[in-house]
Amino acid sequence: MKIFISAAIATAALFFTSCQREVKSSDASSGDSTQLPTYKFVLSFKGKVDNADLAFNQTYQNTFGESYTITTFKYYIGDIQLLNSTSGKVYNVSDKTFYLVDASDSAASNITLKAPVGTYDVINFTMGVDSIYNVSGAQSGDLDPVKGMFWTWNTGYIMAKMEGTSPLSHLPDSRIQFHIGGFKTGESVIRSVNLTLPEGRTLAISSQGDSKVTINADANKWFYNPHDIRIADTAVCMTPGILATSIADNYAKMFTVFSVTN
Amino acid sequence: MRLIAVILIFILTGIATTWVISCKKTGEGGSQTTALQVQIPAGFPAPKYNFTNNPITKEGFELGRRLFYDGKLSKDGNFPCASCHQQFAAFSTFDHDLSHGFNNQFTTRNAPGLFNMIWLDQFLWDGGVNNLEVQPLAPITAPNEMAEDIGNVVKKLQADAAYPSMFKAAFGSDQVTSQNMLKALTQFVAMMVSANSKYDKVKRGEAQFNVSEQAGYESFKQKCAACHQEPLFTDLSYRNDGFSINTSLHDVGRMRITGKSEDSLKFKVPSLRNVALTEPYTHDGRILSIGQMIDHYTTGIINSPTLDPLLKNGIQIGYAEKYNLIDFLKTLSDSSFIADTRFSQPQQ
Ligand code: HEC
Ligand code: HEC
Repeated sequence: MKIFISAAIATAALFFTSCQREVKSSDASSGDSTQLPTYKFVLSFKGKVDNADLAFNQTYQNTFGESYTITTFKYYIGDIQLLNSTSGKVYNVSDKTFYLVDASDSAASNITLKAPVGTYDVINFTMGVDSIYNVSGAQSGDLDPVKGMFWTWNTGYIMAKMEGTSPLSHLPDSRIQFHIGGFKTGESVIRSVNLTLPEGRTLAISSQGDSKVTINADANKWFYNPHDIRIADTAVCMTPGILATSIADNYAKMFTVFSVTN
Repeated sequence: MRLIAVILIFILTGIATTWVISCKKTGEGGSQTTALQVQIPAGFPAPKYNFTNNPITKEGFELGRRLFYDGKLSKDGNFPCASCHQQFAAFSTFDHDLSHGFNNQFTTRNAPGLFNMIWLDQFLWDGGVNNLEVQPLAPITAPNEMAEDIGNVVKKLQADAAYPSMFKAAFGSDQVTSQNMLKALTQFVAMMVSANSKYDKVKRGEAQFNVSEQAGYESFKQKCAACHQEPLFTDLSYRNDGFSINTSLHDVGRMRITGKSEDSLKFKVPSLRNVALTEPYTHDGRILSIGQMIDHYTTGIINSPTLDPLLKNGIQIGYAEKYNLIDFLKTLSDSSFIADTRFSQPQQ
């Protein structure tokens, strides 16, 4: 009889615990703790090759004089932060939110964000996807694996992808395939980018909500400084490791502020 | 005394029932779901899978079950999860060294059984996948990176007559997403707990080993349990088990993931639960029987720089001992698990 009673208690306890699972992971709100009203502004990313606007399938030359074309140019950015270096005021615009910037898609090259009224002269962001999302299972939105930026056999995001062709490539069909990923210690390609806006061109967020910062992303920077990447030697990168971190060191320097309009 | 007990049972059952009802929660789309609970067997560690963002519900589980048996998840419709993971073989591929797949994809390794997956946080023979939720992406898309195909699967499911309402029932939205599809599959696989073998019954005091099973258990604890650790029958480490490299597949195991030469030819120590149901054995299915596997440990160990130190001199196992060991390993078969209708093909 005792066994029955404890079984019943156990059953009751079981249901009790199952109910505790209901706690919903409430939207971890991004932004500052101060509850100021926020207004829209746009971060616009423009693909470039040196000074030219990036056009797919057009022939370019890298710093070693190797000719190549680009067919895909995508990368994740996130953890966007605005800073006023005089007042020291920092605003976290997109804490732990990540966006896929895709040069083939203008909607995915213009990121609409919100920040409180103020002037800011530095923009910081992360290039890559925070390691937590690389280990936490199925994600949605820009992190949805349907975006084709996810390694299925060695879990993790492809943080940046450049594909194209080059006569110097030893791959079939003269392809170039740079799929850059890796989040574990020692092989992380996650890089922080700090951009100081040009002298006198601060970002002034107002209630109008129509400020825009245009940032150039130069594909040619993937090939040099500090590491030389020659297509003739290296036309493919598909795994985390030294090659991936080297290319990441290079491409972390590809951004420059082109314009600020308020 | 008896009467009091009966009354108590009634009251407690009442409480339990009340909880069931109150557990019906309202989802985002106003749908009701019923919580299900994975039973953690006595003596098992805490699960590694984090249920916080994916609590199991009856609706999610049934959706996952249907997905598991549905060929729509494969390119040509012929290869549902269940084609390689068969219930009567404890969800391994029966009698095949390597499993068949679409366009010969994903046939480079032996399909392991699926059970007690929530106690793992690294999947595949090389541990390359780090979360149960994203594991299905590998077979659905082939071992390389073609995740674009997931988009097609999502479209096929959205266009199906039954799926959108099942997604709504489980997740509150009839919009099919890869995330909800993966969560549902995970709920189904997460419920697959195998801990009702004769061995478990002996541990619970409900059965007794016969003489040779008992002797086999003693040698197992001495000679095998360092790697095949109870109660999961694996310590979840990666080790070189003394096999030569497969000269056609060139599978280096764990090294593919870590890039470190010291991990060359190391594979995850597999669970030996249900081992009598999951032949053939090892990462490439080259071993055909348990007896042959034991012979490997006594006479077949191949020395190489990464060979596990425990196997440097092989393992000495006598003739009678071998058969005792086999008898013991057979007590790890969980006949109620492979007959559990919750996991069988759903009626369409
Ligand atoms: C073509 C055959 C095939 C299909 C279809 C298949 N699998 Fe597998 N599965 C395998 C093989 C082979 C492995 C081991 C692969 C490896 O280690 O690289 C595996 C491994 C797994 C594992 C990891 C087990 C462990 O111990 O690490 C899980 C979980 C799993 N499969 C679930 C699924 C699900 C869910 C589906 C359906 C979406 C599915 N599988 C479809 C063959 C298949
Ligand atoms: C040094 C660690 C270690 C020891 C000790 C060990 N094993 Fe293993 N065992 C492994 C590893 C690793 C594998 C997987 C090898 C592979 O796939 O290449 C394995 C695989 C197996 C398999 C195949 C299971 C499957 O599903 O494919 C069986 C059966 C087995 N071992 C039985 C035993 C027995 C019986 C003993 C004791 C006599 C033993 N093992 C001792 C590490 C060990």
